[in-house]
Parts: sequence; C-alpha cells; structure tokens
Amino acid sequence: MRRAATMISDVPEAVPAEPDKKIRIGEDSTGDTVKEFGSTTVPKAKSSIHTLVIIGQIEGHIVLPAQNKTTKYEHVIPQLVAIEESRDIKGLLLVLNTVGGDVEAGLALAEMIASLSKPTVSLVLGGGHSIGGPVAVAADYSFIAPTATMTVHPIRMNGLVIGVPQTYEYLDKMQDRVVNFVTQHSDITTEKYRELMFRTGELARDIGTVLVGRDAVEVGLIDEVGGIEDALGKLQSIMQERRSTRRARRSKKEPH
Amino acid sequence: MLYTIYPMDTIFPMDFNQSPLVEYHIQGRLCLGRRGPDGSVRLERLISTVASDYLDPHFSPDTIIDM
Repeated sequence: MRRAATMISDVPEAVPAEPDKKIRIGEDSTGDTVKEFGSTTVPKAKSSIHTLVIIGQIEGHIVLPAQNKTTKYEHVIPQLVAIEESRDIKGLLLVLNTVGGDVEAGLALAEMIASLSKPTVSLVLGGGHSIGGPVAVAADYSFIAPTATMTVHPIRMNGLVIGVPQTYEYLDKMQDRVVNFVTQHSDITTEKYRELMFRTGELARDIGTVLVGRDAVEVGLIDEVGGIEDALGKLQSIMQERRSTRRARRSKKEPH
Repeated sequence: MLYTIYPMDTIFPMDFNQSPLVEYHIQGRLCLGRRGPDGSVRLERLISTVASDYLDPHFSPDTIIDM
C-alpha cells in the first residue's frame, strides 16, 4: 500500500517507475533497503541507547556536492534536541568515521553533545580527523579503535583568503575555540595539543600529527582504546551509575 | 580533507541538470526534496518543529521516497 504524499508545488509529471523499486515511507521493505543503501533498516527493537553516526564530511553552511558523504548539522542538531527531550532514550552512543569539515558546524555539534544531560560515549572507528576531534571528546567518555586515526592540524580556510592581519587574527580566534574546547573536554594540555597541531615532518604536505589508536590515548585526547563492546559496556555502566545516584537522591528526599 | 585557495564550486562543478528543490508534505511533515528522473523524490531536508521527527529514519536526508 502506498502512503499518501501531498505536494505543495507543482513538479513535472512523474515517469512511471517499476513497482517495488524504491523505499516507501512508513513501510518495511528490507530487500529494497539492502538494494538502495547496502544495509537493512536499523533494528526496530526498543533500546534505551540511541546511536548517532558522524560520517564523511561535517557539512557547513554550503551544501556539498552529491559525491560527498556528509553529516548535516540541520538534521543532527534537532536530533540531539529530540534525544535530550526523549523519555525513552537514556544514553547516546556516538560512532565517528569522519574526515572533519566545517569548524563552526563541528563545534556546534560538539557543544550540543557536551551539554546533553544524558550519558554519552563516543567511538572513533576509521577516522576522527580534524574537527571530528572535538566531536569525539565532547562525549562523557571516548574510545578509539586500535587502527583508527585522528589528525590534529591547524585551522584552514577554503577559497579566497585576503592577506591582511585581520585574516590571521580571525584564524587564530577560530583555532583558540577548537583548542579550548578540546582541552576542556579531554585530558590533553593546551601546550601538547598546540605542539601536535604545529608539528612538522609528520605529514607529507602539511603540518600536524596523525595519531593512531593508542597514540590518541597516550596524549590524553581519547580515554581508552576499544571497540563497540567496550563503548556499549561503558555507556551502560554510566547509565547505571546515574540511575543509582538519582535513586539515592530520591530516597534521601523522601521522609522516613 | 580538502584545503585549497580555489572556491569549492570550481573543484566540484555544480550539477546544472539537478532538479530544483521542491517542498513536499510527507505524512504531514514539510520536507524539501528533489525529484529524480524516475519520478522518485530524494529527501534533502526535513523542516519540522517537532524534534522527535528528526529521529525518524524515514526522514533522514537522502532517503528516496516513492511518490
């Protein structure tokens, strides 16, 4: 059965499509989903943990061309609001495989994650590069897969750059925002983070550092090396801890 | 991670054959989407003031909707 969908604006007459070729909203079509996306729809089993995946490029105010995989802040920010509001969601698992992207969009997501009242755990898989770093450390506890990498480098700007002192001052300010956020939400010191940022000789055509798995933990950027089992286990334990604290607080308040 | 002095649209040329963004009402939610050559609609953006709508995977960006 097709669900009714009303169009506001006129669109050209649709070419009749082969039946059962596309995903119909609100219907289960696992076969179609596998065909379209290479995966089945997320399990429908009720879980108190919500998983948010940060993938590809973190898109900024300009829509990236279709060939880019992107994380869109206009979708993720309201999702985080919904997570905070939801009574069913008790914890958030963030899975990162991102090259980074727009600094402001990345920081916006990181600030949202850091200010959630619910327990959050992040897991860096393939990569958590550039502005993916602040997003990873924004969680209450962070994990990195042994083979995952994180690139720490100075802020860049695409397009025309006007060579005036104000441009450099602006870049400096932007950089401070990133450095401050990362150092406030992880164990890395400002000095160490800046040293990694401006290190030469590590990247072929750039300055900065690539941290692989354990390196990220050793410098204090990420809390632990681990995988999905560790991340979920940690999230469950933080959730349990919060439940116990709440229960204890409630029993203290109740008159004896 | 692409850093260049060139504007992004020089590196990724705009697709001029792309159909325009059109507003659709899907299950009572306002969405922006583009119609594909086969008549389906690729959802670009959900516009809703109900935060929980954004958790519905059916309204994720790039979902293909059979209209």
